[in-house]
Amino acid sequence: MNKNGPILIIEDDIDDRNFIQSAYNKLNYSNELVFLDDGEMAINYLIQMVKIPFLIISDLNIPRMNGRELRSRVHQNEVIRIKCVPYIIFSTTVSKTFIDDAYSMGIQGYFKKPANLTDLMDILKNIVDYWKISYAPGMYM
Amino acid sequence: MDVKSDELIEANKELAFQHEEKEKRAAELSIANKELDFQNTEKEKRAEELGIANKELVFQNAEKEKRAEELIIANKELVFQNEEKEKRAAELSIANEELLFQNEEKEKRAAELSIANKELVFQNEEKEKRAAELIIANKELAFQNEEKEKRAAELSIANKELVFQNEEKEKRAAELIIANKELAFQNEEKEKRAAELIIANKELAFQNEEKEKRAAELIIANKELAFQNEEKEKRAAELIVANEELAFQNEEKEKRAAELIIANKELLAFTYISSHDLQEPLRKIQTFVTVILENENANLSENGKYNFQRMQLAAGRMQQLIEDLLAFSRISTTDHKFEKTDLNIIIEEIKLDLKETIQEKKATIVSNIPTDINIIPFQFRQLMYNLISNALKFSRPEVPLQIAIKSENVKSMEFNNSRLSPDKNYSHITIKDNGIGFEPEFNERIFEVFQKLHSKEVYAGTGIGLAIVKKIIENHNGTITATGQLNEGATFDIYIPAN
Repeated sequence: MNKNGPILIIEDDIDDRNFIQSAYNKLNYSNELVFLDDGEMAINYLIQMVKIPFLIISDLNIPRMNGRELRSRVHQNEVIRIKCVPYIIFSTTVSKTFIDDAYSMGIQGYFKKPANLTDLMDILKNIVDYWKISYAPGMYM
Repeated sequence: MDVKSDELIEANKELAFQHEEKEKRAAELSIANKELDFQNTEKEKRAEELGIANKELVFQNAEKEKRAEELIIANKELVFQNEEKEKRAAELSIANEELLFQNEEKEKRAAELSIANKELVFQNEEKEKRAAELIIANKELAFQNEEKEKRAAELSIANKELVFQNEEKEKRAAELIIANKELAFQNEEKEKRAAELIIANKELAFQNEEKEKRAAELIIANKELAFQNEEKEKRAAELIVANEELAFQNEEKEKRAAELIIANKELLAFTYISSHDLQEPLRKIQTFVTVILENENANLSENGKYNFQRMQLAAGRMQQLIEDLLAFSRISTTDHKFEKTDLNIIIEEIKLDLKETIQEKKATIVSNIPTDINIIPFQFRQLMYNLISNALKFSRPEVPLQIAIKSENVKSMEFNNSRLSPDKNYSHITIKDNGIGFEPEFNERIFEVFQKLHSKEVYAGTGIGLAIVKKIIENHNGTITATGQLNEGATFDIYIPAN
């Protein structure tokens, strides 16, 4: 984690990207938002990235390589795993199976996509504020 | 003045010269003195050496005088010895004469001895011959002795062997005596036994007669049984045919059951997946509505705003419906893991979750569950949550809600319920409220999916809550009944096996 690094949003849905972007814009944080379209694009970005991100927020339902497979690849790669903390799942789907599975691969949080912008702003604000005052491995790279 | 000074100079020179002379003389005297001094020292050394030499001479004189005295004594001794030697010479002359006489005597004796010697030589030769003969005789005797010793040793061994054989024979004799006694005793026993056998034989002969009588009776009975067997075989053949028919029906039913299980699983999976996928577009519709109501508020007519609000409500209900359907399908698919659980803890947790509604409805929830109950905790929590929130929802506005939850262990025989096994122990849990109740004719139908008794405008709900409750109870191999009267509250009775 680098507190001034970008926030990576792994999300293919154009509407959700717009919701997240507009909710985030209202919050006035200085970190850049970087959108990644699918699992393959995301894994290539994470392998090649120079700048350590502040947060990674990933959907599960993404094309080509789904969010679960992406997280599994990150979890198994020791080099990028340490750079990818915190890694947060952001999904419409909330079920015991998905939650247990995601946490078994070392994620730092799991949030349900809300049904309105106010709740979305609330969730983003909570996540960012929490990690702004946290300590995480990438800070010392 | 000048003369005078010249004289003085001259006198001075003279004095100086004299002075020099005197100094020379003094120097010479000094040398002479040193020489005299040296000579004196030498003379003193010499005098000392002479002193030592004198002492030496005095000592030598004293030695020579001692020697002279000794020589005088030695002379006197020699004179005495000369006299002695002369006496001795005279004695020796007499002794020589004596010796001559003795020599003559000895020669005579020698001649005699020579004759005696010859005689002895002859005797010796004779003795040697005799000795040689004795040696031969001795060797013969020694050989005979050795032979006798060997023979004696052999005899000794033979004797020992005989002694050992004697001992063995004595032992054997003793054993034979014992064996003889034993045989005598056995003979007596056998005679006794023979007497007993004779008595027993008589008894057996009697029994044989009895058995023959019995056998005759059995033959008659066997004929009767053979007849019965034939009848039974006929009956068995009929039963086999009936069994085959039943087995076939069973197989058909099992196939049908397996098909139903598969169909059910597929249906549940379908519900689960479709509910998931339905959620996403719905959530987006809801979000867009909130965005429009917020950002475009000024551009919307009152009617437009109202319609959007109705859209929001409809989407919210659909969301609730999907969530409930998901919960319903999840109840069917989760693992069934039973644990002894304290239901009081679950109820306390639910009271905390529903704290605001409980306060709003002025509700009191009293629970009395004395023992742990064997349940699937996760599912039972859902069940209790649905029942308690139902009671809260269907309370009467003017009456403070009271919910009483209790449990007891019962035997099935003590009450009349056709769905329970009569000989099992059950946990009986009752949830009773004083809410709006329901008409008795709905007591079964309220557990069906989507069965609602009220308009959603009055009591929001999806009609799935009690269907979930029923499914959970079925997962517990139990049963649930609802009893109620309109406006007099409702009671739910749950029976689940105690073990």
